[in-house]
Amino acid sequence: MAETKTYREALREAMVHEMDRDESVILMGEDIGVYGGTHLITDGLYDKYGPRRVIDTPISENGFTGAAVGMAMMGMRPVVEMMTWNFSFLAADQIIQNAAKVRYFSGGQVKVPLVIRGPNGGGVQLSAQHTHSLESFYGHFPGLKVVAPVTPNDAKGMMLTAIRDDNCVIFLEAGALYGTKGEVEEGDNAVPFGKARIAREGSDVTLIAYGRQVNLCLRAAETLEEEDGVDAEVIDLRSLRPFDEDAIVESVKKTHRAVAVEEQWRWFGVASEVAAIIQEKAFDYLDAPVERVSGAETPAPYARNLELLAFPSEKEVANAARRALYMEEK
Amino acid sequence: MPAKDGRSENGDVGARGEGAVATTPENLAELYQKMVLIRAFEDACQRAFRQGKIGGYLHVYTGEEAVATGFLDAYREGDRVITAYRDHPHALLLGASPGEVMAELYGKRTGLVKGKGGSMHLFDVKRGLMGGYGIVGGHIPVGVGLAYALKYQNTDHIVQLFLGDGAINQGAFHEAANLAGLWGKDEMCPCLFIIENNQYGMGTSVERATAMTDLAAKFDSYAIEHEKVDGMDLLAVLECAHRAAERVRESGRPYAVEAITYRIAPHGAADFLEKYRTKEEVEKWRERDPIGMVEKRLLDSGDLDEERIEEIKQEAKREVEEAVRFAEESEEPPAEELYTDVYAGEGEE
Amino acid sequence: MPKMGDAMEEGTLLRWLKSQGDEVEAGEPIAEIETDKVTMELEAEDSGTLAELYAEEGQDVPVGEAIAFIAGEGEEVPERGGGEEREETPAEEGGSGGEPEAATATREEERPAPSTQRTDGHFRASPIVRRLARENNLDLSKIKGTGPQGRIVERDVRAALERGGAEAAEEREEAAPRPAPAPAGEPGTELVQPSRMQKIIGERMQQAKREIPHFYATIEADVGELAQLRRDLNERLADEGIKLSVNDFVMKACALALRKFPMLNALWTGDGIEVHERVDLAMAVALESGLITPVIRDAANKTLSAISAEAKDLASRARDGKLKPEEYQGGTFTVSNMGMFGVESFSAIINPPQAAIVAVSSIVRRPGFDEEGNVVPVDSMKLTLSADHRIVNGAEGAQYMAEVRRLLENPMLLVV
Repeated sequence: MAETKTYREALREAMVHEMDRDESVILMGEDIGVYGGTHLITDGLYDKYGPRRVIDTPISENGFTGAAVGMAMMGMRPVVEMMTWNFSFLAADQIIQNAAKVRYFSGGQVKVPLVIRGPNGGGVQLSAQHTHSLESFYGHFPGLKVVAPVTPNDAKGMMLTAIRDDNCVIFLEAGALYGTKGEVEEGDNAVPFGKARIAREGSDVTLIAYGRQVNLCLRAAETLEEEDGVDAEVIDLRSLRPFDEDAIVESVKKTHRAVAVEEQWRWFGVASEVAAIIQEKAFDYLDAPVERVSGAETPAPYARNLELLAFPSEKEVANAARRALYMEEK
Repeated sequence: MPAKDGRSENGDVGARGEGAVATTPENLAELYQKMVLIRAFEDACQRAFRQGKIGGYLHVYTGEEAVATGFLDAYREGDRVITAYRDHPHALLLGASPGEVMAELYGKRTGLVKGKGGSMHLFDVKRGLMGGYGIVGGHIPVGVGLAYALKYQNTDHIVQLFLGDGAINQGAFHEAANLAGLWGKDEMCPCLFIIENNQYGMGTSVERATAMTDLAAKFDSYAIEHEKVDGMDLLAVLECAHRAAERVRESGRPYAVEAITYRIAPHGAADFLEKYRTKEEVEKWRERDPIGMVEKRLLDSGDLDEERIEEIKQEAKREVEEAVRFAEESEEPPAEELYTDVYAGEGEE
Repeated sequence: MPKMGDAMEEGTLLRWLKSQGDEVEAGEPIAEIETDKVTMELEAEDSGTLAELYAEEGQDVPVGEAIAFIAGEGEEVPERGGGEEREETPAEEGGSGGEPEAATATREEERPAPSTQRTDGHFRASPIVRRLARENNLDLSKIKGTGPQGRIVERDVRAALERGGAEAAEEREEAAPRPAPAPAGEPGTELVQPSRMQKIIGERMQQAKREIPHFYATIEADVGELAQLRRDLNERLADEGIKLSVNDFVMKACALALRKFPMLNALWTGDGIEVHERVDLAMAVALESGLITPVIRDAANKTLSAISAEAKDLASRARDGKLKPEEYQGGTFTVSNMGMFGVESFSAIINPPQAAIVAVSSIVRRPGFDEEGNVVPVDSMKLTLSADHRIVNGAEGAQYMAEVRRLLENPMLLVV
């Protein structure tokens, strides 16, 4: 059974599902309670569960994230909201030095079943300090899990998995997609981590992305089909750590060409990792070097036109695919 | 409850707080033994460090023994203890064997955390010790979270959260203290903050680093009540500790104690004394050495004689030597241990 | 630069794996070299110091030219120059059973044109292209690349597969040459360098033995009648200057028998077994410096005397070194006769890509039995067939030899 829901409704449904099921699950964040959440994800939950389980925090990212780590170490399952992931840098010490590592340096004596969630990525003229896509930043650290669902169904399914996971999960929501709709399975539709999703099957070239870039690739794939007769396969990574290497390798073995698309900066980014994996594991299947389409190497600008230039466009993705096919760019 | 007493500019404690009774606790001799053991242990660590047997950083508690010993006498099973990296005595006082702790410092598989943490990351969760953290101030929010959980889970346990004078200037402290005060209003934060003010944050004295040097008073900003105690006087600490712990346990509200103490050894054993303190300062405070003071008290009251005192010291020495031997002879962790405990559950990458 | 295939004339020194001055052990890889078909590691033949590197990375080096000098203890690097031994490359593709001439350059036009695409000695080709080429046995030099800077890309290979014509000429060995043991230099030994022809024959024989699953079938023929017939005929033909040899009869017999067993008159090619109607019989002729096998075309349809005359002529010109390439290339079956040396039995190595060869031994007078069971003298000759089991199976081979015997024992059949 499935119903059409928005991405944000799907997230809320997951949190409610788990909070009903498990007393130890609580929510924390700025303005998530009385206010209902700046993105209305947690709307109505304060009334439902009360202030002990839906905690409005002061603006103290380090403080409340650290406190959540402490709670998790005691066996609670806090779900902490970063109002936007751009503010997480203030909590980076708690996330990176404590949440990611304390299991390791305690010799396995504690675990940190903590979810940190919030809107990630840019594209709505929020300027440089409010525009980051942090998959590769957090994906870099052993001890963290990092996921980035794109569809409402995945948003719900991966949130269920995240809350149940005994590790610190960095849950990067596609902020620009909160209002998008999709079929969401009812009940327990937990989606496992470490499994990519084939968003579109194809045979000529593989487009690999995460976050809202997946939709960009789907549009580019349509263009490629109409204009160039090219049949592109689109892979939604959706899980950055753990990462589904097999999915991209199997796809490239089929299509022989790959384009990795990311919103963030190219240097040391997810697309670099994708390219490395492909050349390691599918070298003999490649017809062309792996193409990377990334954000411009600048802080994000404010002006609309500049911002559009700063992020990957459908055209860039399609042209990257054409380059891989040794076709004329358009 | 008393929060202010006669103090000098530096916040020295001249007299004990009102209501404190100067009785000799029954277990004073036992506590004395513990302090002696801690001193011997920390001395051995410094030796081993200089010999290159202990790597990384080493932070010893020499001179501050009364603080941990006193407060952890108020520990009840089910409570939690969290501190930064000067954590050897906390582990020992909560019941870890000297062998386990030394082996950890030696990086052996028999260490308290299997050789994977080292000196700064002593955990003994089943005995209440929740670490052992390397980032100054980084553990304070965690401690506040532990307290919230204890109440959320409907227990009457408390958290003893130790921190240093250097950490007081970290943003993390202020955020955590604010949260503690806030949650304390709902009786959801049974957290006892214990500031081990040993006058120096690394090489910088409190005066030079802190604009307002009354550390306890900072808790006013967070609606948390507080007091000071002479951290070199075990009896004063004991009295304060029991009282403060009880208060926190009953109210579910946080409380802060600033314990004034002094580090006789330098910050990390690799520093040199001469660089930033005068010899006179050191001499003066040795007169007020916490172990020395208890020793005198026990001799005066007739509970111990010189012979017994010497015995106790020798016992401690032997125990520590045994711990060192155990650490030396233990094996290193196997190579596979590198990859364990990165993730909990099946999710080992 | 070693020769890794008959048609190889030069290779590319891709990169050095060791540096000048390094100590190397025999068998240790010292460089990566590339031919048209393969990239492989070149192993040091000797242990010593890699005293001097002659070729640069990326340089094309003709086969046989020195690319480095490994010095033994106390040994000095020799002067480079005209004194250098160079192995001359045979100018033509080795044909079936053909032996290369000492003189070169007559078959230049038959060599495949060098690829214009090669830069620095490398083919630009995407990895999938190399894999497809391997799997389909394609010669990348025959495919035009439409990618950037002439890179061969997948669509080029797909097109070539559809069109056809890009196949590699022969299956190529990919094995690196094994280093032989160093000469001991004991007193009583002499180190002789094999001649060029010896080397080439050696390589071909080695290849044949390595690649072809030989099996053998021996028959013993009573050639008493044949000997008698031969004497009779030679008497009558003496005036015309025709002198038939036993071998002429044998060759005719072998050729005729092939009509009934055409599978033995076949060649093994990369695309399958090429069965020939016409029997082009190669006959082994010993030379001072080696061996050559001139071919008698359409031997099954030629008379004994014609065969005889041709055989004589070819043999004599062979010994004088005056055979034209088309005279010793393209045979479909070989007969090798060592009877004149008194060899009572032997088996020969097949000349690839032929399916078979017959080894003819000397006539020996042996005791035999007549129909009544009495012991009678018999002039007996053994012939041994070596056949390629990929083309011929045991039964066929045996039947063929039985037919050869039948013809030899009924020699009148050879004259019709």
